[in-house]
Amino acid sequence: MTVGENVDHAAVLSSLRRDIITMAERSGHVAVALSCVDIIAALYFRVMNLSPDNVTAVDRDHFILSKGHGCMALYAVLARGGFLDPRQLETYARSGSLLAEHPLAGKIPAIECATGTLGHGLAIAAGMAHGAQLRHFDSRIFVLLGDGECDEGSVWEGAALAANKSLDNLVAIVDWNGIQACAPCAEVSPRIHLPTCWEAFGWEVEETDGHDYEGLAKVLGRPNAPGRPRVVFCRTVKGKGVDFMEENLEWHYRPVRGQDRAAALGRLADA
Amino acid sequence: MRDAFFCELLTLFKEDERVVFLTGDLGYKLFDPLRDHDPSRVINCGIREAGMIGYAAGLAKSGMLPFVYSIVPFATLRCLEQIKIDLCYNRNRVVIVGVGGGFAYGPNASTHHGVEDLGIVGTLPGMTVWTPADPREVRRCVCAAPALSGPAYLRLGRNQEPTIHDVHAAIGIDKPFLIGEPKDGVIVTCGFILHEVLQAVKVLNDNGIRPAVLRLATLRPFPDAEIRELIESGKPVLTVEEHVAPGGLGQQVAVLVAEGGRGNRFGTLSIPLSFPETCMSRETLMTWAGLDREAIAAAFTRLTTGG
Repeated sequence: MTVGENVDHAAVLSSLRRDIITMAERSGHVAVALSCVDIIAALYFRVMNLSPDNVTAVDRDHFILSKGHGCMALYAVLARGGFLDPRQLETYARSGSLLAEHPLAGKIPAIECATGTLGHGLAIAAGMAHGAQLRHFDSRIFVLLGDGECDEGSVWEGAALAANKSLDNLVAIVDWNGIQACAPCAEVSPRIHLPTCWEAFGWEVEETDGHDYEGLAKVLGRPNAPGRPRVVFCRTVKGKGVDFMEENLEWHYRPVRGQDRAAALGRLADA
Repeated sequence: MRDAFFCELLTLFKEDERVVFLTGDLGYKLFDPLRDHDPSRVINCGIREAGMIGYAAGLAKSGMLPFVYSIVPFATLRCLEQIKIDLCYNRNRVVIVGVGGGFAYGPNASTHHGVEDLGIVGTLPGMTVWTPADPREVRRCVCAAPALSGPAYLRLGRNQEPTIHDVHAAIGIDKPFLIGEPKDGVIVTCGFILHEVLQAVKVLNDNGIRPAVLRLATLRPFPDAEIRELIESGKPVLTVEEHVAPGGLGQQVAVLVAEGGRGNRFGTLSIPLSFPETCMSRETLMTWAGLDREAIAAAFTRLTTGG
């Protein structure tokens, strides 16, 4: 099942957030998932050539969640898109579940690879894009990174490799919420302006609103300029959709339980 | 070993269009024949080993068969987490080729020595580890790559290792092979230090001591069963490795000796856990480490005479 253009997107996105908050009773990282869920939904429902029918094909489009700690968003989207039995979400983070707090390797066909160690996804995605070109596939490779993740030196190795090889079937997406695990990004790296860095590495750079579903579908879906990898900086709000979680660092860590859970679900219902 | 690797890789590269060669900007002129045949499958990743491993993982996911080449420490420790997660955990068939195992890059000093690689890489689940002893075994490792189901690490020396002219290399790399009769015990070894071990055996034979040599071209999966069978006799066992003791061959064989309970006299020879203080050739380093033929012969003699 895919979620096409004639669906009430606001309701779909709200239900994804509801699933995330429900899962987050058992783990941290709720604000991370709420930050990137609209991006992942736009990719799976509107952009990628990927459905439950072609999920095992190698020549389809591919997505790597490099910021693996945002996986509740991915699980919710996969369940909604028919890639996972929605009842599996109830097992999230429980012993014996295939839905761990970082994606497991090789268990769910729609999950390309295990991630969670930051800084790995971009180089893998670049290699996949190069491999697709060598094999003459039309597939595009999308990879979602955190802005904090861009601290990792290996991100820049991947960025250089992709630019050197002119991988115009590769799209990196930065969840640009400005907050990393212990502080605002601007405090950790005050002299770093990420879009300038990516541009200096030879990438085509774009910015867009990371919570505007229609805008995301349009920007992410358009082809790259010939011969260049593209990065889309998505302006996002960490904890988006639940006002008391928004831009509040505590919700990087805190499970959503008891009164918090009721309040968070209530905020979604009110929206 | 290096020339044997590139020569055999060229054959495979021509036969199998899935083969991609990636280098961390090393191997000047050595991969030119590959590039002359098909430049699209030769990728100089630059000095970006972590990125190169991830990139190779992505190529493997697309159905390609990547060989990744660098000097041992850069191809292993520098990018260890990428090897663990991108290759082993995510089960991507990539062959990591480390040139200069052990003290092969002697005077280049400790930055370029690869003396802990096998122990560290060998802890990673799903990794095949090849320790060929000579150019012929290197070729067999390259030929075995298409049949792999996951990643492999191939530890090369440089280019000075002699071909060891016995019949065993022709047989295969999967199983350990016994050279000689274990009349007075066995020396277990892996990799190109085999040449030194065989020289030590000549010294021992001249003194009337006749050990067999067990050579391991495949260190992972570890051949537990074959070694258990061999030490069943209760005769002396000596391990010799161009590697530090932790995580190495000796410690693994020691466990089997202890579990076997046959009371084998047992010794290990390995590289000391310290950085050499001065510049040394490989030959000098082997003496410094107590791994030259005289030291090997003396160690086995002590085991047989109870000294």
